[in-house]
Amino acid sequence: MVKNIIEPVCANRRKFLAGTALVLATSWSGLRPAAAEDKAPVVLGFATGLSGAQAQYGRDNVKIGELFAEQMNSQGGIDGRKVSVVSGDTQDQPDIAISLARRLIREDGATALFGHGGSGLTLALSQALKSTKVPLLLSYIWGNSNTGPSLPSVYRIGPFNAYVATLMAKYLKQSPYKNIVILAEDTAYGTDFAKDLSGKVDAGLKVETIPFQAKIQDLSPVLGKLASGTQPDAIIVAGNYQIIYSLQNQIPAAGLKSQIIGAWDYPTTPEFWETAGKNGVGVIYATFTGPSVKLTATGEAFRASYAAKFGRDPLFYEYFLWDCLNALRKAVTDSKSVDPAVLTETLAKVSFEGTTGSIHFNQEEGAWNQALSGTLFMKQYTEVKQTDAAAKVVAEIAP
Amino acid sequence: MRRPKSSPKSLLDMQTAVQTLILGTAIGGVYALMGVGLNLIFGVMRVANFAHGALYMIGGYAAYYLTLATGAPMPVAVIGAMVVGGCVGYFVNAILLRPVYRSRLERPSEFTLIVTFALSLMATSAAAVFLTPNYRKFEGMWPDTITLFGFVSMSGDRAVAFVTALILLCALLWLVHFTDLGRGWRALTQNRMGADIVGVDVFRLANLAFATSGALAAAAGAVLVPLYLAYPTMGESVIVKSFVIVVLGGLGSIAGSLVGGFLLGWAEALGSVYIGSGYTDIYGLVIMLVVLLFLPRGLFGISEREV
Repeated sequence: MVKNIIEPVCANRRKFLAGTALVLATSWSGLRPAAAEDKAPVVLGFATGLSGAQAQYGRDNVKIGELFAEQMNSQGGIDGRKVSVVSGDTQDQPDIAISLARRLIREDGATALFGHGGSGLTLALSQALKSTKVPLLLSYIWGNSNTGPSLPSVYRIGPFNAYVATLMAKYLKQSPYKNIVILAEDTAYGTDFAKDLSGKVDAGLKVETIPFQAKIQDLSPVLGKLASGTQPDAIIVAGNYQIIYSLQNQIPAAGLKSQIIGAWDYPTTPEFWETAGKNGVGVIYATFTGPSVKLTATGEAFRASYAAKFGRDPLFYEYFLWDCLNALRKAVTDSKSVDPAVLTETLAKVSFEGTTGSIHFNQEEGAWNQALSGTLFMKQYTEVKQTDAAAKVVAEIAP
Repeated sequence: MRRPKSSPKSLLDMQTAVQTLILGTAIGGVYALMGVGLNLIFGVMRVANFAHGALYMIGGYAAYYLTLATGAPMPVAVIGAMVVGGCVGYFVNAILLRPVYRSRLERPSEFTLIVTFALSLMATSAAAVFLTPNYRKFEGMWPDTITLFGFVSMSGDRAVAFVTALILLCALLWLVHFTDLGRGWRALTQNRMGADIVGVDVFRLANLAFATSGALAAAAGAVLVPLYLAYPTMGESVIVKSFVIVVLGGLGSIAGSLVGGFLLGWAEALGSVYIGSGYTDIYGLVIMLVVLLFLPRGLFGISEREV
């Protein structure tokens, strides 16, 4: 019986001592100066298309955000702050994007927003979030009006329509084409680009713009009319959705012998060869990676870590996203704050080594809060399933 | 009186018109195939099946993966896709919709609409998650460019899609007009309660109507993958087009769907060439509104017979 009484007493004593130690330990940690994990975290918000036609870009962006967070946390965080990622699906709908972004900011505490979406959707999002002052860092959104003095929290690293159109007009000037058609999707990206390019080409070059609905599947009747009419020397494809992958087949099937030129480097995306087949050979596309572009130490480190994790090299616009993430890191480190207004102000002044060179944001008319991209490369596939690295450089157009 | 010689320009204009009509006809046949399945279900069960686009998408993916996994030629892939689409259609009705009709709900058609709409969203999201959102394509039966009359160029796969659609539409017409199953469907279309009273097995026929509709939608998805690719949201535009076809042709009318499909194909092709290429989806909707204005039951609409 005695044994039965003593054992519970001893057990209670042990519990009491353990509890006291726990309370003391907790009190002691409370008295310490704020530790790293006590600082407000850096939350990377991705309001991006995860289920629609552009879901692959959205998912890749979130993966890059997670890779960045993983690396930062393994190095003790940013300015001693833990880094996390929150994301949600915009379903390519502006209203959903806006309510999602508000939720990411209010409920999940997003420090800044990243991600891929159409130019029009992003513009609507930027305007709706203007009062929050939360920085929106764009890495591959080309609309001219996506940045500007009226949107002080929006920054962009990467090309944009006016910039690309200027360089592509230079390429067209030195090319043999006399008569070109721009197939432009009816989005802020497509119509903006067509307008910019048409306005910048030489008077001697005949340019016709044919608009189309972004998510249309078939342009054969329009292409058939071109085939029996003007037979353009080149067709420039300025779109984002599925039709751009079908056009490599629809254009020759309509009886057109025109050179196909991608206004961006969609031919480097993983699905290009599966969808284009042998008709992908000969396609020319605009890109910002080329033999003369050298990755910095930051760029090489990103390439290596990305390849180790995802089994392929990053696509060129993924370097821009990595630069955007580093821009936020630099702004948080410099300002020692995650306050949106402070970050928005600090971003305007940051300067750091990006993946392909030094990065700082211009505040110039036509390129507001914009880190300018480098040389435009016009590349051409010369054989089936060729990689971007092996594609022939047709022209190198410096700014 | 001598006939004036046609100028090269007018010849070109004529060639463009003929080419546009032929391209419109080619895609119109596949549109008819999409719309006819939806109309069959509406006629038999008065259900607006919002999952019709999802069945089209399932057919596209089924054909793609069958080709990828087994190297099966396209006709086998299309038949496989029809089997998958038919089974999905059958079970959607037998498992999910049948309890709605059997219950004492006041307006079952509204519940079926919600169920099929939810199914459609789920199928699209599931495809994006499990099959990735990447665009997919398999090599069609006839990927070469063919030239008709010396001036109409098109992909051979477009001709294959058209001929496949015609064969399936003819098979459906035979089924509807010359078999007991078709007679049952027609009885249900005319009056469901009357058919029920005279001993028609409504649920069995409804299951088979859903299976047939699913198979036709899946076939349309499968034959168009070589031209339009497979991707999770590929059914979104199809559901809109299918409803336009059904309304144009008349609710419950199989023949109406055939005409509606070709009308939509011609409207889109001619509209995009002669009015503007930026409004392709609008032309069908405009024609639908005009038809509704003057013929509220559509071109071949059937009025339900009173019991």
